[in-house]
Amino acid sequence: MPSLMTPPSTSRIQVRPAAEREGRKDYISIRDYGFWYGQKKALEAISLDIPERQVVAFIGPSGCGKSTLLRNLNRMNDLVDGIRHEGDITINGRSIYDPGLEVISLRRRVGMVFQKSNPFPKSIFENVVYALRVVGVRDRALLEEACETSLRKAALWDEVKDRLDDSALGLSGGQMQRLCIARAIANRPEILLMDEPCSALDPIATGKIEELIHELKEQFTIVIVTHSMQQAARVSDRTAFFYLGKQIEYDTTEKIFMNPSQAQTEAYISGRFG
Amino acid sequence: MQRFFHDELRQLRDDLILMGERSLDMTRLVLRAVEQGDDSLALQVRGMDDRVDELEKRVDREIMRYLTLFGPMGSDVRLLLAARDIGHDLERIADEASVIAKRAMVISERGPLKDLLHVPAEGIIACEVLRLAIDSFIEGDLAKARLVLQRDAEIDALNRRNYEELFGKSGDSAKVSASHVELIFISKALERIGDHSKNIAEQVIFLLSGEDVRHAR
Amino acid sequence: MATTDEKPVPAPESRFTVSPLTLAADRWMGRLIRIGGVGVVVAVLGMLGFLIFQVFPLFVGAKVSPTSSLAVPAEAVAFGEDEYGEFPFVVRRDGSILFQRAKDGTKLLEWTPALGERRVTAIRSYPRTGLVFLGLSDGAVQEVRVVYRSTFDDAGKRTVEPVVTPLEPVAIGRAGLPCVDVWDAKGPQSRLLLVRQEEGGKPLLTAVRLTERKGLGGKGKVTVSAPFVVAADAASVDQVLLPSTAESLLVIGRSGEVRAYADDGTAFTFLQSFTPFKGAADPAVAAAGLIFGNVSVVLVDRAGAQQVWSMYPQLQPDGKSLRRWGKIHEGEPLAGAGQGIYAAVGNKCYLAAAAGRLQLINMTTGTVRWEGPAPAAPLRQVAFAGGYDRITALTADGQLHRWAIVDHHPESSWRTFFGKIWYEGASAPAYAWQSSAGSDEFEPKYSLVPLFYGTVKGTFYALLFALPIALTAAVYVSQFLRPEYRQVVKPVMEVMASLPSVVLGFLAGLWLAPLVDPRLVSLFCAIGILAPAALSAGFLWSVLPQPVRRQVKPGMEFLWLLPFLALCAWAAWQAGPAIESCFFTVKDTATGLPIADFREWWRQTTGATYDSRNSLVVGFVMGFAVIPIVFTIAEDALSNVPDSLVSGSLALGASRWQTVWSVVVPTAVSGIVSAVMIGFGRAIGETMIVVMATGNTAVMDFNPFSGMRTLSANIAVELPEAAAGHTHYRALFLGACCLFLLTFVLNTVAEILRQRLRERYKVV
Repeated sequence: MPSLMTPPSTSRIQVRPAAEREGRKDYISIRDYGFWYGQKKALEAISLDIPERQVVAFIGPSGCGKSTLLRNLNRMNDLVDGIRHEGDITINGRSIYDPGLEVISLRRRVGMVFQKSNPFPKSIFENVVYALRVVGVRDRALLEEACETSLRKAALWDEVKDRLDDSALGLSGGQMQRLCIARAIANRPEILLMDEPCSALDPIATGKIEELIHELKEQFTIVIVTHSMQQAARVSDRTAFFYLGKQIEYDTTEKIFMNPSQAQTEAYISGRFG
Repeated sequence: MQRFFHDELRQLRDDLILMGERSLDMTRLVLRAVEQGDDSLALQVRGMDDRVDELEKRVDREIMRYLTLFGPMGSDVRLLLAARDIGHDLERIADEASVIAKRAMVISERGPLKDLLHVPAEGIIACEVLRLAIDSFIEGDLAKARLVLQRDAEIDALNRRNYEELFGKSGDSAKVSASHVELIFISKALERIGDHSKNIAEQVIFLLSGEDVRHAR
Repeated sequence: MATTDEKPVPAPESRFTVSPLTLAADRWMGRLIRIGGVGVVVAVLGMLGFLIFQVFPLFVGAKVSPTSSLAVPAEAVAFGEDEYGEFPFVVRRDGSILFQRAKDGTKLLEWTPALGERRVTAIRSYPRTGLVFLGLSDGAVQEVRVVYRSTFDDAGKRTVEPVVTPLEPVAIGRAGLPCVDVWDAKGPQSRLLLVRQEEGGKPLLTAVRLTERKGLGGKGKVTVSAPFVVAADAASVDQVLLPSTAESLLVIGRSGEVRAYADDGTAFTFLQSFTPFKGAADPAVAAAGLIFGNVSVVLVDRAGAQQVWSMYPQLQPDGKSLRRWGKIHEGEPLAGAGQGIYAAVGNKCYLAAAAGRLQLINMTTGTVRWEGPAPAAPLRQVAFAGGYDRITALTADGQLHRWAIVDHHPESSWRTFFGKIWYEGASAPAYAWQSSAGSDEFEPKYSLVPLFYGTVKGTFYALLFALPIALTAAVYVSQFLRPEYRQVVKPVMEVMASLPSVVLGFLAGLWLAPLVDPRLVSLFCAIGILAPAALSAGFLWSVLPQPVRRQVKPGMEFLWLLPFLALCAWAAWQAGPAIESCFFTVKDTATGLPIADFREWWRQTTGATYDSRNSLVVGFVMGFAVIPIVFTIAEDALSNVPDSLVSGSLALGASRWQTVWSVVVPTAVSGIVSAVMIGFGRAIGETMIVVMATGNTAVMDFNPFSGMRTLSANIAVELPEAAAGHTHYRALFLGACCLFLLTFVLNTVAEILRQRLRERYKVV
């Protein structure tokens, strides 16, 4: 039976059009941003604004700097030796390099989900409430509530509610990745960074994650790095194309994929690259 | 698993159905205008055409967006391809209705025609066939779609009789007036509507079964 | 079916083929590897098998088998024999001595005493010394010496000729009263001859001392002291036990009261009296016998109950500690009334006869080493001979029975090695290891428990020192130190692991122990200050303003910390003497002046010992041996924790420390456990450091300032001096076996634990 004939399901969350969701247009603002690993310039003159509660996808070939930029949004690159940056990144008007801003509190506001799902070797429950434990929440009821809320938001609650105390490592790949998302959500961040979250997953798990992203953008601003242009097209509202550390084009996803203004973008998305 | 972008397919389908209903309404109204010589109805029909054109553009935009962003597969591809043709056929139907309305106004300018030949009958069948075509799309009914293919011949036959009665061997050429010529155009337009309905039904068959029945004997 | 137009399949020989050499090498390498693998298992099992093979004889009982019996005159009351038992003699009731060949019973020699009017009324023969004492009817005693003289003819054939030398009778007892019994013993200065007579139904014990003055050449003149009465206060005399050293005397009365006397040089003074079977229905002592060593006596009552009493230091009401008799064991009851207790020579076994059964019992452990039927006729005299090879018994029906003993390890039993045993002469039951001493009568003590204890103690102190340092260092190096420094630290630590432990032991014993000894308080202060100093440095760092902190690259903080810590430690070391004089001032026992000395303070305050080479020194140096391996393995485990987990934790807003503590360490826990276990195994098996840096005393306390003796050090120290096949030798092998099993069990447990943890914390 073709999907056309399926009666519309009533239980689905009605997604509000993007226009209703829009908050601040330059929620994350990247200005003339350059970044070096030692002598190697990884990013050059990046300037883009990420609106609040939208999904922005970074695409581009490997080594184009999209992951570097993503990891700089919560300063995960700080631990790398010999890094240097110029320009500035502000979140809601405040620079992430503000000396008064502890990197820890920045990361609490800017959650991150990694390419390879990395649940801790703990129980599902402990994984989800990890961020709360880290800040010293001891109240069991509070932790349980946060756990349920986050797992529900990550569309994982029904699958794991009966085995919260089992090891998280017993979950399937897609479930693990959703657990990692739940873990990031439990921290109540404003921004979720996703670094190729589906690259190791099968299409069904990928589909579930994409559904999740689609629903989470009601609440969070999401920046996603992906190698799959189809994925970028499916989930994002805006897309930025990077090449060799430069920002080639940044526009609405429809524009980028239907009628890009740059020849390089056209070549990349149509597979005529290189 | 239902994906969020399937909502857009549903939207596309709803828009197509709306287009179909609009085109059918126009056909019905224009037939009434022809029968009753009602110019206001004909004007109304001509006004409705713009709305259908808008819908066609919207449907096309939706199809393009979906093809670009969501990488459709299987029945979704057929739906999008069929939708584009169906949208086009429906727009053509609306255009034909609009043409009929123009002819009807020309006729009524010259005074009402007593003898409308087989046009009213032809119109009824055309409406029925269009209804059938739209329903087959809405309901996904293969039988209805195949019925459309058969009944299209009835319209063709009536159209031929209209022509023969006026200009054929047995025809009485003295009787022929300028209005009759208009009537022949109307009959021809109805026949075109039937053809478009048939095209829609062919697309529905393609959509439902993947079978290409165009140009089949 | 191939048609003609198909492409021809290439012939096999046109393809590339694998050379037969490669295939053969492959096959042979596979076999070789399999042999290697099986070989390892076989080697380990073989080792265990060898240990068990060496240890097994310890737990085999004695084998006692009757060999021959010789018909002797029925009126024989005593016997004696030569060392090989070839030419035994019996003493008839009339004092005549008859030598017979053991093999066929042929008479060799007969000797009859020339006594005139006097008759022989009492006979005692000491088969070991060849002395026969004839108590005469007038209270005198004649000593008869039997010597076997061996001569060899030209063909090397040995001829043994018994020689009987009667001495002049010595008047001892009250003149005119016949001797009832006679005893002889050789004390350190003089010999004692004791006779028992009956005077109007009352027993009378009289003794003389025979002192031989050794002249310059040969035998001196024998002086006989005036007879003196002993144990005159005994109400009745049932049995008299005279130790072979003649230093004391036990008189057992009919009522079951045992009266002990001690020789004070001139007379036997009353020492103490005890009634062993006081509560029993019949308190009388049915049989008694002194055990080899003369400080223990086995007493059996008429119901068969056995008790062992021994002389050991006991606290007297006046506060003095004096050696007195006290009960140390209650043995397994015999089948019936005791008929005789006959002590073995050279060990603590005795033969107990009761109710027609003979039991060979080890006094110390109470183990019955052999049990068998007794001869039907009553026993007249029983003696162990040839060391511990043979038992000879003379029965009333004129038979000389012989048994051969095969019992290589009479003193061994499970209790010997693992139980708490009340050794004779000790004040209380104890676990003791004391394998050798100067005297033959010394009883070796083979308890492995103090060695286990020492092993655990040494391991504990070593790990107490090593684990915190090694594990925290591993965490620091793997998680916080910059990679370029890590590349230096790791190999250096691995080189440290290869330091020979004998060098460490040498340093510990000869350099560190004397160095630390006078500056103990300083050392404690210096070590104690490190942790608070490091913590306060961390706190100070955290309150420094951001711009200052940014000056130091992450991972380089230690450049500031190290001098700070060194400074703190130096200051604490310097402050040591001042602290010592503040808190540890005691009165010097020698001079009475107050001195500041922690060692003296420790001795006086805790009552525990203080040794210069103590557990702390060992723990410290053994810690050095353990730290590198624990560090290396733990560091590997921690470094192998995937970066993705660390990133995941950091991305959730956890600090580095929180990340390490709640993600990295739990994930690496299986590796850390194996690191700890390998360190544990190393510490348990460590030998040279313990040998060199402790006093090797097998003590049973956890005092950090005393030494220890570990199983491994024990083997290293004593194996060279243990005679192969001896109990001592096998006890050392038992220690090795225990060590093997201990490490085997520990490693197995650790491996199971590690597998579980790995299963639990495995990272996909």
